[in-house]
Amino acid sequence: MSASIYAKPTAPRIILRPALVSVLLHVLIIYLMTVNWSESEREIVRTKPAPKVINARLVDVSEFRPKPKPKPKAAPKAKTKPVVKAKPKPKPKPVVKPKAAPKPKPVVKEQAKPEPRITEQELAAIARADLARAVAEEEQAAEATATAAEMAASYASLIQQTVISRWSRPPSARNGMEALLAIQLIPTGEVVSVSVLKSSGNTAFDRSAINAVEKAGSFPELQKLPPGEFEKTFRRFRLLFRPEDLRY
Amino acid sequence: MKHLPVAGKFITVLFTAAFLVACSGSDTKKEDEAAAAAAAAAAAASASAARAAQETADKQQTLDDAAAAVGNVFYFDFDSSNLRSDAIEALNAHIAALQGTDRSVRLEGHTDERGTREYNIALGERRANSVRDYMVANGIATHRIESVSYGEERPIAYGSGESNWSQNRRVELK
Amino acid sequence: MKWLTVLALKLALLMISLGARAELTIEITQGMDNPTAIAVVPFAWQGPGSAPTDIASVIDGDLNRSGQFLPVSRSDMLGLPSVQSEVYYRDWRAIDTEYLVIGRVSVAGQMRIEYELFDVLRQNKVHAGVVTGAVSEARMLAHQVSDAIYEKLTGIRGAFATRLLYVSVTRVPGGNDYFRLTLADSDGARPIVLLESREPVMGPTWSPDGRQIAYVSFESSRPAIYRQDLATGQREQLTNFKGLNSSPSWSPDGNTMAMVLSKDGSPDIYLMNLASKQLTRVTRHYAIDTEPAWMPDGKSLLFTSDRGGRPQIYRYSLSSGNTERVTFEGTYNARARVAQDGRNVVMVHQQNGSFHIALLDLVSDRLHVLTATELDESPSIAPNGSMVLYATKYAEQGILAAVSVDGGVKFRLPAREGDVREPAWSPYMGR
Repeated sequence: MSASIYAKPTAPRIILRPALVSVLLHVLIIYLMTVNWSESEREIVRTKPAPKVINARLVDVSEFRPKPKPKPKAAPKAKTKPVVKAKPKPKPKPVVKPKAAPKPKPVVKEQAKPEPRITEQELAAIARADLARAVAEEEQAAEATATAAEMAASYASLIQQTVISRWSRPPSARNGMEALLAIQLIPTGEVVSVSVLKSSGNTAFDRSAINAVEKAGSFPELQKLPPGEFEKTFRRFRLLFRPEDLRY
Repeated sequence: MKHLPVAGKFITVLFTAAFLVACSGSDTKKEDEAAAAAAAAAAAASASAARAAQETADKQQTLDDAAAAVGNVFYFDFDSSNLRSDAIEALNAHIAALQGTDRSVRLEGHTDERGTREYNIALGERRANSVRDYMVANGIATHRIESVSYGEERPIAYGSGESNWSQNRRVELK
Repeated sequence: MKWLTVLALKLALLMISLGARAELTIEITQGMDNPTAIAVVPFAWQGPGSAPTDIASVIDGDLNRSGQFLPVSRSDMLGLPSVQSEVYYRDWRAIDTEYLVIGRVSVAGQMRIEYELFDVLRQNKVHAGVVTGAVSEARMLAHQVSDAIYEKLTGIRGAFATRLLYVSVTRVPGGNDYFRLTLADSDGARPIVLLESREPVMGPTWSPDGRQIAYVSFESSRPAIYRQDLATGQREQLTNFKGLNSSPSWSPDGNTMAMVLSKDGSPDIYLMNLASKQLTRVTRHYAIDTEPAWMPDGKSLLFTSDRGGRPQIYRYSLSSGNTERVTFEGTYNARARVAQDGRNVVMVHQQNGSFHIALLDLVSDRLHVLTATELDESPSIAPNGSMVLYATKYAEQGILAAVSVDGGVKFRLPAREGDVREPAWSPYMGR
């Protein structure tokens, strides 16, 4: 009869404003997690390819018949081009350091507990030891990161060379045309998907880019990558086809 | 040689005239004598004219033979339309032969095969013009000279190499 | 405040995931322009007896001659599909084919050619089409199919369904050679003699609409310029001047004929209004000015002049009347021809005593020698600007040869009896 000591069990009430805020925040977070941040976070392998591969082969004199037959283009192309870029084989080094997991920071642990009391010296010693350990860990991690980065760059370079050797540009191609392709691989290195993210505006050009990848078909060397590295960098990546070596 | 020298025509006229005079039939002896004298004088004149004409004809023949001897082809150096000294000598012979006549000539200019066809047509014309200009400067009237260029289209020698090319760089006088 | 913690956690996760996913982009800035392997399967003939023309072999020849494609030999083909349902991509992938062309030919009054183009790697159909026309024009119909395939795969309009003029000469040593002005398909097939003469015939050229031609003939024992209607064979003598009458060249609008006359003293460029026959003089110089070539916009002319000592290319602007020199590299540059893009100019260029075909890029001002042959002359550019046909000498015989505009593809055309010279590539013959 009288009011109970317990609060009246009220029906669960949806408090409007905070609920709305919460939903909005959830939507925001989902959006932020799915949106394409890569535009600004792009890691671009700009390593200039090794000097243009001249497919030299011993030619049999009997090949020189008057029959109309296109000869391998690599040699004459080098002759008619005004400048041949002679770059040394690039040391696998990324331009932009790949993001690693947040580095362990040297932490000077303050003993929060009041007991037992530690002398200042001991504290200093502990701090130094901790610091040393932390630095060592960081160096190891840095080394591991550097090695991983070097590996990634060297495999990227391999992919680059393979695609270059299979890219036959149509005569309507011009320097500066750009086609951006999205590539998906599986850990065996096989290409499972090629799609055009951004067309060059010239379908023959786009098609030639796709075909270059299709002709390559797979990059089996990627099997040597540690799985983490493969997942991180090579399961999905992009190829930007933008010729610079055409006559114009 | 094409036809009788001009002198020959003159002689014919002379004879005809003399014949007509002789045959005009005069009754008087005086006229006969006069006629006979005239005929004799005419005959004498004709004889010397005939001799002169024969000499001219012989001279012309000599000139023609000389011109024939040097040939009617004048050769040129590569890319040049300048008359070489051998060409000039030969030309002189032809000019000498032409001066005594009113014959017309046709000059045909040629080049070797190197270079472009239309430019070579122009070069062939330049060569023909060189010859023409020299002839005109030496007394042959312009209207007697026709010049045409065949460029590289009418070679004498079809092969490549200087031994062929040098034969084709020429002007022919016809 | 619990929800704040949750929020903070979610934000942290977000940071980590962002940090973990930086997508790699690899730049491909070069290529190896090897020819693309394309298989043209013999087209199925849907009629009695055997097909009147091997359509597939005409297409195969065209694509091969372009230098962009590598033909697949019939003996290598694992199957001969003629409809899409018969195409097994694996069969073609196995022999490294990238593209596949199949088709069917039938005749019901007219000839009808249906064809499809497949991308073997992507396993899809790229293009399908039909061409129809007179049975007598079967080869031209096949060339139209080649044009469609070429355009689809290269992005450039094909120039296979075009024609060719050239002069063929039979030597008579010690006598007058035979000269024959000949018209053929651009692959050299179906030659027709338009004019036969014991006197030289030179400088064949096309009107912009491909219906008339012009040339120089010495048949009157002097050179004169004639124009001729291809359909009717009717002919008109345009000039009979003293001296040179040479190098006819039609303006892009078809109204004016540029030519070279020496009637006023030395060879100069003149323009003749084709309707009124009125002449306008363009160059006034005692040097040789010859070989006029119109720029595609019709506003200026390139020509050869030796006013500087030896032949070089000059440009005359019709509006300003100014002349400026264009070539500065080499001691002999002549007989320019301009591609439809107005940028690429081919010419005869002397280097180390040899005469080659060279390409001058008017925009970059760079000259590239295209040919390895050595007595080259008379270059003529395809209407799509991709190939250059020219005349040269091989084994002491005059022949035609072709080179691509980037110099990468070179071949000689099969030799015919006699000497062949002065090729003139027709404009597009209309879709």
